[in-house]
Amino acid sequence: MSAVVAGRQGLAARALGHPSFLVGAAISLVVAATALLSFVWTPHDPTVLDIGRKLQPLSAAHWLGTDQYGRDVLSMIMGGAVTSMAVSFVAVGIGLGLGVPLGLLAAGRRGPVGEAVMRANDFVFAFPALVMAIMLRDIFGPGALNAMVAIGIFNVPVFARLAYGAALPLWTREFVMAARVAGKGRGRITLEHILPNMLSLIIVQATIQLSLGVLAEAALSYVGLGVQPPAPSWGRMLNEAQTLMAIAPRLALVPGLAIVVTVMGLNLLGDGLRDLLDPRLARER
Amino acid sequence: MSLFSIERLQVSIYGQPILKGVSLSVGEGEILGLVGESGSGKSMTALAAMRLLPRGARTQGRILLDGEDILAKSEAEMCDLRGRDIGMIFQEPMTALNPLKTIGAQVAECFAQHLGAPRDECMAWAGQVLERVGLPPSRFPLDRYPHELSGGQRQRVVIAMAVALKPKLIIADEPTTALDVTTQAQILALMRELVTRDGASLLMITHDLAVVAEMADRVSVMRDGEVVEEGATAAFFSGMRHPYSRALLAASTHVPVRRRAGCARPSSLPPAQPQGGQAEPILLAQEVVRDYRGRRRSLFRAPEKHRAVDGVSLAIRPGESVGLVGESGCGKSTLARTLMALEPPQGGTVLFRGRSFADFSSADLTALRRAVQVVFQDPYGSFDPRHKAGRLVAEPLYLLRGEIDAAERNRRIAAVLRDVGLKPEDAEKYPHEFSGGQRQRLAIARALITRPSLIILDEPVSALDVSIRAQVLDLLAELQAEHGLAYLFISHDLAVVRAITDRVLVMRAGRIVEEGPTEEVFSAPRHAYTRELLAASPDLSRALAARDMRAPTTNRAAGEVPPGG
Repeated sequence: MSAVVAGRQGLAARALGHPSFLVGAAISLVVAATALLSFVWTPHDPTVLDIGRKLQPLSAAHWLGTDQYGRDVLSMIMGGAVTSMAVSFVAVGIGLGLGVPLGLLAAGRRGPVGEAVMRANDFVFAFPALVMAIMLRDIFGPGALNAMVAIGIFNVPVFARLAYGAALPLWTREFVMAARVAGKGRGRITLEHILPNMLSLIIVQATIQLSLGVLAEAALSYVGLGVQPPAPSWGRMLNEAQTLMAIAPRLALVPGLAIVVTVMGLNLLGDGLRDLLDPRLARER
Repeated sequence: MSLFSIERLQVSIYGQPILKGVSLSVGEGEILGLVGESGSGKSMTALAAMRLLPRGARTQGRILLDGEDILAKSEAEMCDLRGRDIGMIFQEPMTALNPLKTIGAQVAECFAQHLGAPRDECMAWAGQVLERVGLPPSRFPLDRYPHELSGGQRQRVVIAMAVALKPKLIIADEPTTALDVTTQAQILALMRELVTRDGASLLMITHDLAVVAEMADRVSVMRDGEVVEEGATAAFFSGMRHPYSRALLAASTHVPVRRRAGCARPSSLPPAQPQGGQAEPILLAQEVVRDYRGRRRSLFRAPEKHRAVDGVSLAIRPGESVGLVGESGCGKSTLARTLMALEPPQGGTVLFRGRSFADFSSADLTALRRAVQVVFQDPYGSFDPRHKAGRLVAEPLYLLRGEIDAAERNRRIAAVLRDVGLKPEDAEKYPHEFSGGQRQRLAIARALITRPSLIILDEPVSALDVSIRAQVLDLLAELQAEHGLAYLFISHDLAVVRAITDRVLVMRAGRIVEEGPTEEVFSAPRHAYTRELLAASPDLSRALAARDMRAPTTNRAAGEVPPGG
């Protein structure tokens, strides 16, 4: 374990020498910056239809052209980044907020409680986000909230299992035994010793789940279960572009590339973080 | 000329020197004991001889086997040589065997690899080799898997693989360190027998001088990547020249001076009653039973139960030092966890100052935790790597929350750090900045900080080198006298228990088979198991005496004076 702490001092230096971390972090920052920028400025209003200007090619006024309703594609991409990020962040938040405590609870209280928690997780895990979204539509109706909750619920067992699996071996460690002899209860030990020692694993998983969230949000919007018009969304842009593939392929290519690059960026960031933070890999260096 | 020799071997890994000119030689049919503490470079020497050094290693010097330089060989030639000319026995039999392959297949692989013989023939040979190492196929079929065998049996399989092709040289790296004493004695006997019968040479790497005295014809002592002394075993033990060899010998036979409580400086604790007597026990266990749930074989049948502790009774009184000895898996640590109220007993009761754990209120539990602290075996695993020493040592002060302020807390941290021979400034360091011995001192400091009356020491020195072990034992003896502490000292090491306890309990398969004053039990054991344990545990003076007896007939080194260096 000493390498974990020892490696910490050199973390910044190692991060700078890690190409996939750098590329992933750069892409993620660009996407996040684009989303933030769209709150204060977009070249045009992405929700305004202007049929007279439909299907315009790339130009100085419309850097990425316009779609069949005359909306500015660049502005829609920028607005879509907000949707993408918002949905996947909230979904990861739901997964972290529910999944990690559940996993920690199950690991701390083995026996019937832990067993019940983990089996319930297995049950939830059986429903993919898409199926979940279809079921939840009846409650929330289609929309961003539906997508967030569906993807969020899908994330819960992922984090619960991760936390459970990471916490179990920690509970048998002697320093946890020593904390028990010091009179500390399960809750306090979990907060002081278990959680901090698995934090890097959780951070890495959260990054990966973010990228899956981007992908899932696009899929849900594509089938009409996500954000509703007029709010821009990459998934719906793909959907609307598919009938025009022959005339204006860029309308599908641009949002498709946005999705691919974002997902790739987040995955590279996750891989990089895993290399930098994971004690097992750090020790091998 | 010697069969195997290493000449001025230098190894560095990523520029950091590990071996600084090691020279040693093993004659034909000779057993060389290579002794040293951890980090001395003895395992690196073995790996260099097999050309199995880790990445980034650079080698200089010569390693000669039968006059041929191993370092000059190609990797393909080395593959041929490993296993056929040099066999290797590793420390940890569990990781040295492939868990997915049967023992027969693993031994047969040696034949298939080097002789290219058909599978049936290889299996037949494997059976013969396993028979030679004491695993006859009639009782241990070739299709057994490693997990179906005990640790000692697994080590026999590892040995079978090493000797399968009758190599000229066998390198054994701490072959018995992971084994229990009774098993260790059997494995050592087996190795000696095989070497004698095949006329092979053995390079035996160990940290244990008693094992060397028992096994080796000649001894080389390593320290910091250098051989500091070497010589024929008898001569070596009778006249050590190098101060380090003498320090090593002194440490391995070290008996701490134990003063009685109360004779020392006035302690902050209420004066303890001088050991034992009729004082009320701090902890009293009566017929304690601990069951573990085994694997569930069927959904409809109750899971199997494994009884780890089977009706154990014991009492620990203020100021006394009680030893608990037994081999791994006998239930010592399980019993300890029960005595600390970390796990409830399934039968019997444990009383703390007359109150049963079963009727404990949370205040009682706090009182127990303040009075009974613990030191674990592993100096690496017993600290959260993310906290500083001060916070780690102060963790049990949680029990006194609301009673002491920050100033008192800091005073106590400084005091216990000084008590265990560290400096108050060390509170600002992280655990990885301490050595193994220092970390064990930290663990003791943590146990002391609530000013307990009893410390349970679960194998506190087993992971430490002999010289560090001696220092920690001294510290424990001193602290006991100074603070009037009672100890429950759990160990598999009889010599250590003998040195530091007043009373001893011998545990086997969950039961106490013998108990009594330490000296009585050790000098006149009544139970057969105690006698077996005592006979098996390596003992330096006994090994040397036995060597003198054997000398005229079997001391093979006698006629062969090895070339120096």
